[in-house]
Amino acid sequence: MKIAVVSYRELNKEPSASRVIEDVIDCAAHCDERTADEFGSELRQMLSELETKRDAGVIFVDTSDFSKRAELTVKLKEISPDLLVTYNLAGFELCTYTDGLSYNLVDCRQFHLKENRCLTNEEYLFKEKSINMFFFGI
Amino acid sequence: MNILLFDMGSFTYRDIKEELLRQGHNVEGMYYHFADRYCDTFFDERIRLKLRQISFDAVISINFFPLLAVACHEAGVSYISWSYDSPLDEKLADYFGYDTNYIFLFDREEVEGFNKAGYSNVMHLPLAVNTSRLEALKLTPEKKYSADISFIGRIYESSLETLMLPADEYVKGYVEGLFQAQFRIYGCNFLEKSIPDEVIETLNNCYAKLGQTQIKLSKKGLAYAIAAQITHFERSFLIEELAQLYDVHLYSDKICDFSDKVKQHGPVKYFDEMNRVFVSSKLNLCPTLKSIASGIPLRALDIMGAGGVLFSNYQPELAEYFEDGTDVIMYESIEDAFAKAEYYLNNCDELGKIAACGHDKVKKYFDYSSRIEELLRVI
Repeated sequence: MKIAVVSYRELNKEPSASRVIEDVIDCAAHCDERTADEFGSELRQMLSELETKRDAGVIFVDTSDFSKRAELTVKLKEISPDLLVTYNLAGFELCTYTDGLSYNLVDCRQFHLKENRCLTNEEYLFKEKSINMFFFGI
Repeated sequence: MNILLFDMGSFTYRDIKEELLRQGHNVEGMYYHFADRYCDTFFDERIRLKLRQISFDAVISINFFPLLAVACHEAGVSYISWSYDSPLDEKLADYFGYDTNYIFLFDREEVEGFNKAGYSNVMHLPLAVNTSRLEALKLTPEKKYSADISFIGRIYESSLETLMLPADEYVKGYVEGLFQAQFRIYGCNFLEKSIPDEVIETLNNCYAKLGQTQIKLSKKGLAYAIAAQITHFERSFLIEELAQLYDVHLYSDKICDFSDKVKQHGPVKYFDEMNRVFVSSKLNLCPTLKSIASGIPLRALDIMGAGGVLFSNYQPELAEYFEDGTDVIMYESIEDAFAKAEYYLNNCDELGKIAACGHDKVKKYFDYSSRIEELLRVI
C-alpha cells in the first residue's frame, strides 16, 4: 500500500511514517457506521491490511513546493498513491480553473485529518467535495 | 423534485445547480473524478448505497456516465445527462439502451446519428449560459487583458500521425485527401461517411502485424483523429499567422510552439479572469472542434454571455440563431477569417454593437431556466 502525505513545511510538524499509519488506523477504527459503509469494500480491505501489517510506503509532499494546483495534482498523479492523507487541510487552498478543490481531481481515496482548532483555510471546506474524501478530527 | 446532481469537474455544474435550486428543487451534489468511467468498484458501491438511502426523483449529470446509467436503471431512477463534450466516446452507446436514460446532446447531427442507430432517448438540447452571473460581474475592458484577438483554449493534439505510421502510401494519401477536403469545408462533416471499410481494414491489419490486436480502430475513431488534427492545424495556423499582423494573445494550459509574436499566457480561471479577457479583446477567436458537426460549443456562448465579440467559424446551429456581422463574426474559410479580422479591426466602432446583439440573443435563447425545464420535462 502506498500513502501520500501532504503537509505544511512551515508548521514544522511533519509526521513520521509510523505516526501517519497509526493515525489512519485510529481514524478508521473510530469512524461511525455510516462512514464505514461509505468506505466501500476495497478501502475497507486496504485499511484492514494496514491494520494487520502496520506497514506502508509513505511519501511526503510539501505544499510550499507547489504554487499552482496543476503542479500538486501532477505530483500526486506521479506518486499514484492508494491513499492520500493530509494534515490540517494542507493544500486545500489550491484550486482548479473552475474554483473547485484541486484534491477533487486526485483519483484515490483520501483521509483528511484535522486538529481541533481553527485553520485559515477552513473556508475551502464549503466547496464541493469529492466522495473520495473522508474527514476526521484528531 | 428531489435530485442528485453528479459532476466530474465541469464548467456548467455551478450554473445548473444554481438554476435547479432557483426553480425550487431539492438538490444533492455528488462529485467524483473517475480514473476509469467504465469500471470503478468504489463509485459503483457508493452510488448504489446513495440510491438505496435516499429516494431521488432523478439523477442528473453533466456528460454521460455508464456506471450511473447502470445504477439508476437497477434502482429504477430516471437518469438525465446533458453533455457539453462532443463527440461522445463511442463505447458509451453500449449503455444508452436503458429505459431510465434520457440523454441530451448539444450537437444536432450527433443526435441524429444516435436516433438512426435506434436510440430514441437521445435528444437535442443546445447548451446555455448564465448571463445573470456574468452581468453581476459588471465587466469592463481592462488594459491587462487588452488584445486585438484572443484565444482561450487548447490547440489540440491528435493521434493521427501515430495512427498513420504503419499505413501504406494509399491509405496515407487517402487520409491526407480527406484532411485537406474537410479542412476547407465548414458546416458539413463528411469524415466518417467518407472512410471506406477497406481503409479501416487495412489499417487494422497493419496494427495486427505490429502485434497490436487488442484495440481495433473504427471509422468513428479515425474520423475523430482527423478532425482533431484539422482543429490543431486550423487553430495553430490562425493564431500564428494572425499574430504576424495583429496583437494576438493565447491563454492555454500548455506553452505551444509559436513565434514570439504570439503572446502566450497560462490558463485563466473560468468564472472570473476568462470573462475579463473576453470583454477586453476586440475579437475572441473560437474555432470549433472540427468533430462538432453542427452544435454551438460552450465557449462560444461564454464569449457572448460575457459581452465579448465572438469570432467563430461557420457552424450550422450558430447560423440558425445568430446573424453574421450583426450578432457574431463568422468566417467560412481561412482566407475569409483574415479578411474579416482585417475589416473589423479597422472598423472597431462596429464591434460594440455586435457584442451587445450577441449578448442579447444568448440571454433570450440560451438561458438555463428554459433548458432545465426542458431537461426535467422528460420524466
